[in-house]
Amino acid sequence: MGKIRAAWAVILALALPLRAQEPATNLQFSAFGTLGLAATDTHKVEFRRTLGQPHGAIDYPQGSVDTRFGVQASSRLSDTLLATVQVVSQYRYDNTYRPDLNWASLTWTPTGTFQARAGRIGLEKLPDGDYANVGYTMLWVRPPVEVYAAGTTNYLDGLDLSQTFAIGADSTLAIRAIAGIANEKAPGGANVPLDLTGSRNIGAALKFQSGGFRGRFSYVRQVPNHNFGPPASDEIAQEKALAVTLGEPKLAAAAEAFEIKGKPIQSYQLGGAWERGPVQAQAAVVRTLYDIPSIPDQWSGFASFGYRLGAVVPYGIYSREVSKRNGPVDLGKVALIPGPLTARLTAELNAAMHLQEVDQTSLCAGLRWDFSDRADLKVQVDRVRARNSTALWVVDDPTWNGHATVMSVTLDFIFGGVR
Amino acid sequence: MRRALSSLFAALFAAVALRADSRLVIIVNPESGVTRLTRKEAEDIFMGRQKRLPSGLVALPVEGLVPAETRLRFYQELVHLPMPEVRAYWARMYFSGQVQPPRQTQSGQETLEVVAANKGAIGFLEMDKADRRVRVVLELGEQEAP
Repeated sequence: MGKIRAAWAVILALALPLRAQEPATNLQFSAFGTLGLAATDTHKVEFRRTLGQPHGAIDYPQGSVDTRFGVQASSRLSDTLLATVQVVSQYRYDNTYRPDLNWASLTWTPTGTFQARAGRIGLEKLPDGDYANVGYTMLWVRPPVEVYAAGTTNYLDGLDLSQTFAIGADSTLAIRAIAGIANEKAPGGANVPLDLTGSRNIGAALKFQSGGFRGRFSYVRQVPNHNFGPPASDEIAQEKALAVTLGEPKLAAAAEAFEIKGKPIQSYQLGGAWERGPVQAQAAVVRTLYDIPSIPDQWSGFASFGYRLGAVVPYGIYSREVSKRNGPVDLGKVALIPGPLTARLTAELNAAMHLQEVDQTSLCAGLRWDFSDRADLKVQVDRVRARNSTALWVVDDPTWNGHATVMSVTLDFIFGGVR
Repeated sequence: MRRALSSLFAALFAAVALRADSRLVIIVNPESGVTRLTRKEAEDIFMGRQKRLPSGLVALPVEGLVPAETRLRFYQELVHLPMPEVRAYWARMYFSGQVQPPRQTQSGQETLEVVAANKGAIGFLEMDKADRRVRVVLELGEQEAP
């Protein structure tokens, strides 16, 4: 950590004096933001943009879901070196808007085809995840929650390398490799704190571009460095100790199934986008595999289509997330001594597994209006159907029937830097 | 009817040919070491995907904001995208911390001056605005040889 802080200090120290030397275009300050309101038609559950948000929208408008603000400074230190620092304030896991350092990196481009980045860099775990905070860059109010809500790791402290190759006369293929340590926290699927700080990540991506088409296949492997925070982890530890004392290795193993530390989470993504003339089409499929028996493997994906008519783009999105339904586990069958401990562990394991299960579909319709060069206004209506699954929601009343309509309006803007 | 239509088309083509010097061209510094660019090379440089000219010099793309019509035509002809999509694209590139956007100028004259003064600079103009200080390396209206 100390070294990373020192690296940021160096970046800033390098960047700031340059302003005095070359006041023209070298140091660029810019900002982006979204003012958003979202409301649903139910007070039984809270709709949230990512699992990183501890609360969400109910049946009166909430600004916390989509509102955010970011500032960025970038400076060209030499022909081959670019320094970038970005700070973002958004509603986060600890119920505050405390600003977070999103990027603090040096980009080195020694040749036309090779690039290396070091420092705090975007993980891009999901397609276009690098700029998912910047509403202005995307067609929608927010990235489809079924695919993006679980993406609680946005940046790494590490290194990424990419090399681009020309394919024929019209296409390029870029190969990217990334490795680093995550530094973010989330409330966790079942509102149990999920601390991803210190998680080791490695990833690789292939990016193809030809004319208006871009495609991407990528892989990320994350190894959490912490278990669920207390009270869950304390209980697990107690039960594990008790099971070991009672000479119940299988029960001890069952207790261990709750633990996530050291168990890899792997995700594969395949996505493509077509942007040409008035057409904006995009689709992606994500497969997430957990080495943790209490969290089922997942499929998610979306398809979206927009068509520009002058200053407005009507669009639609279909998105879906499904996890494998792990059948109920009965530890009574494996325990040597059935009893209250076995019953309690069985109940807890099944409850935990059920909380992590997802089977949800959204159908969204929206309109983006580019009323200015640097701002847009969007409205979007999501019809959500969750089948016996609440993993993406904050549940206030378990009698919720799984249907919800989410209405959102956002104003996105950018300042400086880009025109 | 068919004959009338073909005369109409012929007349239209003649009109386009007469206005040929308003075609958009991509210009570089004569000392850049670049004599010709393909559309793909131009597209990659102007969209921030390629940071060097084919000669190896670090590219300094220059985007003329004025007249707005020229800029709109440029992106329409080069990448077939309307301006809001181009702006959103640049915001993605910029806010993902990968590039700095093209240097922007307020007139064709300023574009000429920047390209003439910087070896790695590359800009776009209407053909009739280009002069001896710069080299034309691609005409956007023309069909590229296979």
